Parts: sequence; structure tokens; C-alpha cells
Amino acid sequence: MLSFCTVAMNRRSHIEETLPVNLAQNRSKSIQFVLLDYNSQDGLDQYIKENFREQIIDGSLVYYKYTSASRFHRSHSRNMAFHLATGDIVCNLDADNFAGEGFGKYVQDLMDHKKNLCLTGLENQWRHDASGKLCVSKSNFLEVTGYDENFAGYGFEDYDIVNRLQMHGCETFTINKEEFLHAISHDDLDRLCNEEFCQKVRDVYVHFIDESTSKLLYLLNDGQFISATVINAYTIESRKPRPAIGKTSSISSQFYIKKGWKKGEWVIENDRLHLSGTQCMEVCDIQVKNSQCSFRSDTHEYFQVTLPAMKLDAISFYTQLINRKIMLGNLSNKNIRVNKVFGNGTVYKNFQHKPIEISNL
Amino acid sequence: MKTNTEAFIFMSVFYQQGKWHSLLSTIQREIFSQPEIRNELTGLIIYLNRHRGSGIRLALKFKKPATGAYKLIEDPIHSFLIGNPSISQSRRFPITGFFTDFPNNEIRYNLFNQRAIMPAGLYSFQILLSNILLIFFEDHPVDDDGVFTLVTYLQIAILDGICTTEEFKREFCLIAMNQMKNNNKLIPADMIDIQPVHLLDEFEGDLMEPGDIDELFEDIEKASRILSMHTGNLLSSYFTILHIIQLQLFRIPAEVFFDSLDHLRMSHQYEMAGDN
Repeated sequence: MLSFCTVAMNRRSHIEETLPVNLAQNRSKSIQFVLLDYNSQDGLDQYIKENFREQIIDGSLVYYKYTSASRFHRSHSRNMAFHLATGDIVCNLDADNFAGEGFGKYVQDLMDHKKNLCLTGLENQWRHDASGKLCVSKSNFLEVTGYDENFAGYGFEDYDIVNRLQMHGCETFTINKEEFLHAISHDDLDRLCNEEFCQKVRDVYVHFIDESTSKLLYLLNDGQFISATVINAYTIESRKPRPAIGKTSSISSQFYIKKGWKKGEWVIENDRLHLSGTQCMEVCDIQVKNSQCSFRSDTHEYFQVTLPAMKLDAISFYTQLINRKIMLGNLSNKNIRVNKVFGNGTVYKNFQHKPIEISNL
Repeated sequence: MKTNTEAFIFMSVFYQQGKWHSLLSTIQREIFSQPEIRNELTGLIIYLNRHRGSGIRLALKFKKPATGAYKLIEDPIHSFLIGNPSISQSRRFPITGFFTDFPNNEIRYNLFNQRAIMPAGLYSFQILLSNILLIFFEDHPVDDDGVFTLVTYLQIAILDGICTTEEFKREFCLIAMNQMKNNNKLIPADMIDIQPVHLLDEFEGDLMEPGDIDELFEDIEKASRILSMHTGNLLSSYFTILHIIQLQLFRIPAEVFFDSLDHLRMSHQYEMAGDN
């Protein structure tokens, strides 16, 4: 049995597009779809109830609802869904991903021959947005204790689990068949808006230093700030005609932080921004020029990021840097089992009222 | 069969767009008048660029890139920039990037990479288009009118290559425009099929002087015909070529292609053909 596992928090519009197609293109008694509704507030439960009665009765779709989540946690939600899957092969299918016609059979055939395969959409040659696609035996998934729940926001959890599965002895197989890599294109807002850090950030500002160096300042809703000087590694040496750069792996970082993140508190009083922390003390005057707001001190001019897509970039940049560090730590310390408990919580199956406890303590 | 595995030097020359034509003339003159460069250089792709500053990008394919042959091109361009400095644009608001733009009148390297080089065969379109850019913008500024005119000429050549009759051409224009409309005027991603097409290798000769522009448009027509016959999918071939053009023309909005198609469709020539 193969279980496709999809988690969704407020992604009804994507599920409406992908789930009917995925079910229709992978109909088999040996294939099950597990949909974990991670406390969506967009009527996903109603949509499933009204449209998939037949599939729920015949068992091809199992719907679970987890009602305790206030924010989306990518690793925890996926771990829950994988725990709930009854297949001996488990396959993560993001809410915006199409499985592709016959993908389930394709995976089963491959894994019939090699039990220890780890199929991934990462680094696929088509560069399609299918990096979340991961198929592995459930026993191997449990052995590595699932996705690392220390990853708080977006980025690198897929790379990390593939690394740990490899260290555990699994052979990586990149999915390169174009028909198995389709996904809905969408902006980062859908991806990030339910995550903790996204909800914490009030505003982002940039102080420009030169074409390869800038300082980022995040003002958080709780009165805290974080800031760092960011270096663009791809352009810092641009005066030198080194040999051409080849294709770089997605895990190599284009950006790095100089002297770490600084933290402190902020407050605006009398149109002046006060930043105070152990490593900095700064007072900036507010300025508005050509509809662009900035805070200016003797040493910095922080321009407000007003374009929504750019603000989301800054948010995912922060979480990706943090997650990348965790991933590299797991890799260098050869951490295979990273969670003491994972995917725990109480869920409700197929609109029933009887709670099901997931616990792997 | 040619491959594109030889190393390229990726040079970016930052310069004010209003004076790109002067810079293009200098590049053309220096490259094609110096025997040392012609001996060393085996390919040249030109990209007009407005990302992180206004400038012209050159992908230079050398026989031996490690020998420092790039200096043969860098030095005269550098002299041109010193002798004819252009004004840097002030910061635009609202801010659109996390780093400042590169300043004008500077030469930088590796701000783009191998990904800007198309697979074998389709690389021919990049070579042909580069030669067209050198000649077409030799003596007048790269402005909206100039770009629209160039795109229109290119569309004529591509359509002549892909469509066998005038009547079919008119029908094809309508279908292509509908495809763009259905994708909110974007070039449909699922119609772009970037695969090696070795049948087009014949256009990838050694570095040649750009020559006559009419002949270059004829080459675009011929290459378009070969590509469409090879793929068997006219729309996919058409949108693949548009995608290549877009990459070399500072990622111009798809609206320019749409409007130029509309202009052609409405033109006397296609109307009359359709009414026969």
C-alpha cells in the first residue's frame, strides 16, 4: 500500500484544484490519499464533506482534522500525516502539487525492486516547484524520526530529511519525469502567511551599503527587533573575471550574514525610532520622500520595504538562513534521529467525533 | 554536433540605456576589427539588461578563456566608458531590491551564468539575435519605439518560418494571442520547450561579422521553420523563440509581443490575405 500524504492549512483553493485530479489519476486499491486538515479556517472540511463522500467510503481518501494548530508548522503537520498513513510507502504531496498520472504505480514499481529508495523532487532537472515531493518506506521515515520539528519556518526541511535518510542508508532517486513534477504556481503569501515568523513581523527595512552589502532590520509586533548585515556572495567578487560559475546547488547559499544577528527592542516615540540592544543603540528620524518612508540616523538610513512580495522574500530569507544552519548542523554532526517525539497530537478522522491520539513517546 | 560546454566569460557593462547604441557600436567595432579578438573569440551573445542597473551583458565564448583574452575586449570598452561616461540613475522608490543597483560606467563579471545560454541548437537563435541587436541598434537609441519595431520584424520572420500560407498566418496570430490572453498576456510557460535541437547547429558558425540585417532576419525565418518542423508543435516552437528573445531584450513584458502580433494581424497585408 502507498499513502499519498497532503497537509493543508487554509489552502482550500489549491486542494480544490489538485485533489480531484490526483485521486482520478491514481485510482488503485493499493493507493490511499491521506489529507490532514491542519485547522484550516477556509471551509476545507465542508468542501471535502460535500465532494468526496464516495472516496471516503471506499477508503481511497482519509480525511483527518487537527484542531489545535494556531499556526502552520510544516514539519509537525507532515509528521502527523505520515503517522496516520497506513501504507508501507509514504509519499508527501504538497497541497499545490499534482501527483501525475500513474505516479503512485511508478513509485510502487521502483520500490518493489529497491526498498531503501528515497524519491525526491529536489534538484529536478526541470526546476519545477516539486521540491516537497518525497516518497520513502514508512519504516525508514520512522527510523529517522520524520521531518525535523526544530525547523520553524519555510525552507530546507526537505533537504534535511533527504540528507538524514541518506545517512541512514537510503539511496536517493531524483524524480525527473516531467509529468510527475507539475504544481500550481502561486505567490509566497500562500506559502508563508500561516507561519509563526510571518505573523510576528510587523515591518522590514533595508539600509543599503553597496551593491553586495545591505543591512536588514525586522521590527516585530512584540516590540523586539532583529537585524543583520547581509552579503551577496554571488556579486561580492564581481570585479574579478573568475572562471564562470556553473550550476550551483540550491543548498549553497547566495547570502551570508556578517557578524551574526543582532537583537533588541524598538519603540517609536515622537516620530523617532529608538533601537536598543546589547550591541546597538540608535535613534532614527522618520522621513518620507517620494512616498517612501525611511528612518534615518547618523549611521543608517533604513528604507521601508513596502512591496508585499519583497517583504515575504525578507521573511523567508530569515527562516531559510536559520533552517539552513540547522540542516548543516544535522549533516556535520551526523544527526539521523532528530526528534524525541514527532507528529504528536489529537486528530479526528472522517468527520467523526471520536478523538484519535497520535503519540510516539 | 556542437556543444556549449566550453567556458564562457560573463561580462556586464553598466551604462545608461539612452546611450546603449553608442556602446553597442563600440563593442561591434572592437570585436570585429581586431584580429587578435577574432582569433580567440568563438561566440558572442548580447543581452540588453535592466536588472540591478542598466547595461549590456556579454557572454563571450573563448577558445582558451583562462588566458586572459577577455582583456582584449575589456580594455577598449573600459576606455570607451572613461571617454564617454554616462549618468547613473538615482534610486527609485519604492525600493524594489535588497541591494543597490550597480553604478554606471563599470564592468563586472559573473552577474549571470551558464543558465543564460540555451541548449545546443536554440543557442543559434541567441547568436542570430545578438548580431541583429548589433546592427539594428547601431545608429539609434534602444527606446520603446525601437524595441517594438525590432520585435515586429522578428515576429514577421518567425511567422514566415512557421506558417506556410498567409491565411494560416492570420489564424496562427489569433491562436497565439488567445493563448497569451488566457495566460494574462504572459507567455505560456507550458508552451516553452527548451530542448536541444541539433538540426539548428548550422547557424552556430564561428564568430562572423554581423553582415546584412535582411539576411539575418532570413536566418531567423529559416531557423524558426526548422525548429517548428522538428518539434511538430508550432505554438510551442513559437513561444520558445519568444522566450529566447525576451531573455535578450531586458525581459520585455509579454504585452509587447501581444501588441506587435495584434499590429501585424491588423496590418493590411494579413487582412487582405485572410479575406481572399
